[in-house]
Amino acid sequence: MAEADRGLAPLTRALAARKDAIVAGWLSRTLESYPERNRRFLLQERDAFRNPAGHAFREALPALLDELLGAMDCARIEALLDGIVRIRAVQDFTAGQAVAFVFLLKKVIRDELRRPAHTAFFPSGGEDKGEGEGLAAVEGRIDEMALLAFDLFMRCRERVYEIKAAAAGRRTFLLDRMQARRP
Amino acid sequence: MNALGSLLLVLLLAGLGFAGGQVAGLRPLFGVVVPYAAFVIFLLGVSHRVVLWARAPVPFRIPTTCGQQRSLSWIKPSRLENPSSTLGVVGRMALEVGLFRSLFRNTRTELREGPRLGYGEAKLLWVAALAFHWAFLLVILRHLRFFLEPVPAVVAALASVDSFFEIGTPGLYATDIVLAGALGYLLLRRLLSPQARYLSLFGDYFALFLLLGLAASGILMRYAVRIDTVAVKQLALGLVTLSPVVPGEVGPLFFSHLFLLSVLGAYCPFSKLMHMGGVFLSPTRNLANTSRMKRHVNPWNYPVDVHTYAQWEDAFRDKLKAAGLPLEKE
Amino acid sequence: MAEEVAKPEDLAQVDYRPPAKDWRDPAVEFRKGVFCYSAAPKHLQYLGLPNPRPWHPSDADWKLPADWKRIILEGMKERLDRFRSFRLFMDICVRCGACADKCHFYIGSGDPKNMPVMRAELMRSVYRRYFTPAGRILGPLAGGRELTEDVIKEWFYYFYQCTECRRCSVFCPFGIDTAEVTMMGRELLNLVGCNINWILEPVANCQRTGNHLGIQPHAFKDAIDFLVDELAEITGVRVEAPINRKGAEILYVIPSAETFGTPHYYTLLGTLLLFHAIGLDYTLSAYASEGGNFGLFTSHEMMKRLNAKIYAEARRLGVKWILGGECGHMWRVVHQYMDTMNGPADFLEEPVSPVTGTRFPHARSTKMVHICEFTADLIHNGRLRLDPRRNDHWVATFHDSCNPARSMGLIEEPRFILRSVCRRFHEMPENTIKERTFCCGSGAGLGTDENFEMRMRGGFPRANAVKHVRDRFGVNLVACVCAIDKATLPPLLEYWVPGMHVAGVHELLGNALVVEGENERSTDLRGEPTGAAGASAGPQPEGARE
Repeated sequence: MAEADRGLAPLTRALAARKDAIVAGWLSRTLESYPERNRRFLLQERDAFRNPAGHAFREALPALLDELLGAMDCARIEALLDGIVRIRAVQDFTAGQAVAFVFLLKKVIRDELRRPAHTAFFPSGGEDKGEGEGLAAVEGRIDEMALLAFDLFMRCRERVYEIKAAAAGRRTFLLDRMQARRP
Repeated sequence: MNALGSLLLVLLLAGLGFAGGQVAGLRPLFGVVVPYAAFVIFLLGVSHRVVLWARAPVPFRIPTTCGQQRSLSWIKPSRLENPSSTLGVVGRMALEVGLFRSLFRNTRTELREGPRLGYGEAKLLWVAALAFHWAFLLVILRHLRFFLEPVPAVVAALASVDSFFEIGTPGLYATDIVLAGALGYLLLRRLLSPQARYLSLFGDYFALFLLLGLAASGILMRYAVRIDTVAVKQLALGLVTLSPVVPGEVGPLFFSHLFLLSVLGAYCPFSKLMHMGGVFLSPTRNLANTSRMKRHVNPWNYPVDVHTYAQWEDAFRDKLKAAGLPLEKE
Repeated sequence: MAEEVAKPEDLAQVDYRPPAKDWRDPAVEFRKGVFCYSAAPKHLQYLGLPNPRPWHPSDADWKLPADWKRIILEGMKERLDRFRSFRLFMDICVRCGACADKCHFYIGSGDPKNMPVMRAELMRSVYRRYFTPAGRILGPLAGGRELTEDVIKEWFYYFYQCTECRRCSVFCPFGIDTAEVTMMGRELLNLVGCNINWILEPVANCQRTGNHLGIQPHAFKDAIDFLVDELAEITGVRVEAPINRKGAEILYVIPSAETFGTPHYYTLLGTLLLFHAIGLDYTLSAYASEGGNFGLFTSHEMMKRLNAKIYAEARRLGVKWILGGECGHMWRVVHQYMDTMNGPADFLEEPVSPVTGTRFPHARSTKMVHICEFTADLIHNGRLRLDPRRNDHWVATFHDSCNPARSMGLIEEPRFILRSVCRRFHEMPENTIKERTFCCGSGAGLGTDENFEMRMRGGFPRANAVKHVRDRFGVNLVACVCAIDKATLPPLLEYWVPGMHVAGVHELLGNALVVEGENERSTDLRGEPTGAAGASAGPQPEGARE
């Protein structure tokens, strides 16, 4: 872990300072997976009950970024990802599409770092591989997150089938119960 | 596309009126024939539509209830949101027509986080709609001074209240500002909100541009391009007293204004602008929630095929007997 | 390096949806999981409905009758002449968009044609083209659209993607009610044989046996007898549950799900215990063994056919008035249609509570009272002995079902009961309850398994509000007064808010009700430990118990 995290600390500090911009970029890129006419609604309607999906994104993304730049606590990350993946698992997305929003963060972070104030991290404009060590560590963490998201997606899909089976049972509840209790 | 097309159409119509007013030979057409024709189309068209609605029966009592029903004596019913009396219905309709009660419901929310963008927009729709409709009504009433001689005190008073702020000469009418502003917002909303843009039709933009054109020409005539108001009044009085006078040099902008008004009047019965009459007939709003209290009769209630008890008993006789359930016929 | 890590972003590119098409393009893709299967021909035949045939919505050819277009247009004409609502709602919409984000299917799916205004516009565009002068002449310019087979498919997709919950009509400045448009759309689709099995099978069953599941009278009696035994086991009290008994004072009509499904069943346990406690002179009926009415989701005519049984049975049995159980759309039919369709009920008497003497003048004409109105009156008059501590293992909230809330106004009665029988009760946020309640996402005949994903999307706004009160107040039970809710909220909440339970109001009443001669109750009606004992253990999730 220590090896992988080499060069991480200065980078996370820099990213944390730009958290708001990164979250905004990440959110808007994520919402690009929805049709254009909904995007504004998802993005702008702040009422948690009128716009639960948009709300879920707005709640989870900043917290996920905190984890990424901080403790990387799996349990917490899972809970946060769950809020988003559970929604996407019953919308018209394939598994890949449903979890792609995690990978989008890489591009957002890179774009953010390319901005002038941070040329410190890219003195050579991204040519020199050595200077990307911190970045590679962050991106490794993003990959971990994506794998978690993928697992969650699969679990949601399995859950759907389990729930369907349980619902069928509920409909014949009394019949089953009568059979069980009156042999 | 819809927006651009309807804008061009309105500009074309305004230009047509403008041009018509310039040509002496066409003035009888644009000053008398067209307004009369439009008025006739408006009257016949609107009454035709209203008659169509009124002729269609209301087979069921289906109010949308938006509050507690009247049931047990100790539970407070919601008299306006879920009326159970005629008075309640009148109140509900008054709130609906006068204050756009249902649209206002849009705005009441709580437990929001962050800046109130979505909230603000929902409220703006209500404010703008209300502002537009009231301003439009006042502007129409104010225009009565052209059609009535002597000008009734109410109309004169209205005009003086309207120009209360005494900005500039002639005094700036508050309703002009409100009308134009509200229309502008309603138009921008359709153009900028992806949802509204998606669902807007040609007719939606056309109505807005028509009204904007009407407002713009009116405002220009009052504040920028002076016209001969005496001649206008002569024309208007002639029209309402059915002794039309063909006007002389009133000013071309006036003919744009008059022509757009004629188009609006003639267009009304064929368009969504009929909502002004329809709202009064809406069965989800104008009926009391007395569905279980008073019998509501459906004029076309016809007999249907029912699986009767006798058929049912015949079908399950043995099983009924075996289960010990009582039978009509053994 | 930048090139390598950029790769996963290509994945995201797949995400982009096609650019916005004009909504007048009717093409619909029938994806698995978001539509309901077609009705089996045998049900159409039994009911005498047109065009019975094997077909499937994902087929290219729907085998419509040769003159389907004439049938649809004539059907439209007929309905425009019969329903002011329909004609008016076709004419007066200004497309302000206030309804757009009020639909649970729109919020959950993001499909713009799920905005109520668009759903109605699918019909309106055809209306304009064929029934208005402007549309006939100007066509698309006046918002008109040709009626094609693709339009029929689109109607099928979207009119069976509306739960007729009427939430949009609360917010519409003209009271335009999408439920009304959807009902007309479904009637028209039925004219050419485009209907769904999840609706027509219950309809056919109901016509034949008297209830949705097709339970025959002996099995119905068997279920009720079993229930009486179980109730005796739990409470030590043996109740009477007469069926088809002539001369009873009151006919009690329930949604039949209470005799076979869970958690409905516990509601019936609670209700029968209540009737025993107050010594009510009542009877159930095996002929009118269904209060629910999937005819409402088919056509006005079908609704009338099925509903007729209730009055017919009340007349045959010679009861004085009718009491109706916890069911949502049943009450839409009873409250807004029954008297008009199958009345006048002049052979019945104005309902009076035999226990308290309270009259129910608001039901003077229809002569049918909601069980919550009846029970609230009992509690208000102090006629019930209640021990709300027995519900201490529950922290409840109340989900207003669409129909009782928006087509009737039954709002305070169930809340009054809940507060009397349950010590911990918390409301969900104001804009998700009462007249603004969110649908379960499975009403109006859409609660079928093949439609599961669409149901999860449609129910998401409701589940989201439930999650809020769970996180905030520790709510673990959603109480409701609707049989469809009881069937569809458990799977919905299992997905979105795992561990949440669903119960009828009268189940909780049954838990709290102190009945003469009862045992020391150690469990609730579900057989779970009650009160403080249960609270620490915590009930098992719904799914886990089965």
